[in-house]
Amino acid sequence: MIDTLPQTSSIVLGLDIEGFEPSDSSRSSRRAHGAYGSSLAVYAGESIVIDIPLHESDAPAIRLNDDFIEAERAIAALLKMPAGWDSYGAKPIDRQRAAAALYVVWMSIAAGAPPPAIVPTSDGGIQLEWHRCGVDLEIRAPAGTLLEVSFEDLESGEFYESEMIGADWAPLKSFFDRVSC
Amino acid sequence: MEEPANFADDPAIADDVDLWRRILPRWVVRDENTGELRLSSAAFDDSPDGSPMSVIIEKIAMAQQITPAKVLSGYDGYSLCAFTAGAARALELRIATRPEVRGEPAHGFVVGKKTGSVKKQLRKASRWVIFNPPSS
Repeated sequence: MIDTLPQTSSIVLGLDIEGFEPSDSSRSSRRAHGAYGSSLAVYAGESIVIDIPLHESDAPAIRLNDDFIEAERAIAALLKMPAGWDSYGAKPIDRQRAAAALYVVWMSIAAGAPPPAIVPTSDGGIQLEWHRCGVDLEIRAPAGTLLEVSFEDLESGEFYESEMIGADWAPLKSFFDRVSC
Repeated sequence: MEEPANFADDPAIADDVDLWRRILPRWVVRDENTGELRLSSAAFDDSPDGSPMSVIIEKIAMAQQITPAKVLSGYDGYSLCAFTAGAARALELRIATRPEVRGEPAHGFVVGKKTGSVKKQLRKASRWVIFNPPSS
């Protein structure tokens, strides 16, 4: 059983590892949040789904806060943009890359970071940006599980630019800490 | 389509000539470090069709009475930013005039690899010519 406890505009989901059901039937049918197995499914609009692995420390409740819901809406809106949306021949936003971006948003919020700016890119991707705490952090999902990370400490001049390949994006946590002042 | 590798730098475009680029509202983000709105580096990508990043060459545009306002005509909510040809060349980019492209007589390309670092430098080198703050 999933215990849904709406708190103002936030949602708290109780976790039951046995089953799945939409957590909040009062919300639009376009969106459902629920927990199943050992993961949390988040449906953004009709077209993307992310599956967030849960750990024991997350139970018994997962909070999908306002920031995450706002990000989900923003990304769902980007998915509706037609080709050429930038006046320079941009591609429509790719669903898989949108899902990757939403997953990174989830990771950042779970790590205690504030929500990023969500910026579409001409090649059909999404760039997430944090400009705070004296640093610039930009994360882009160019394809599949590939992430491009750009970090700059504006005071020290420390600059880092790298690609992360594979499903383990845990190293992002250290960057989220830097924008969580 | 012409291969970007074949685009030569046009020496007729002096280093101090401005290059304009249209900026859609979604490419403007809040910078909490400064408290101001700023450009996103995402504004400086090449085109997904493989052609280089498009710009309007100010010197050619002004000679043809194409003002910044005219460049934004029909693009509600867009802004216009500028960086100099010299700033682009300092990043090992080339400036190519291609007026036949996109029906814009002052059209040009900024040719060369746009790494994240290069895009950030282009952003830093840019200033607003016309700034329309995003509505939300």
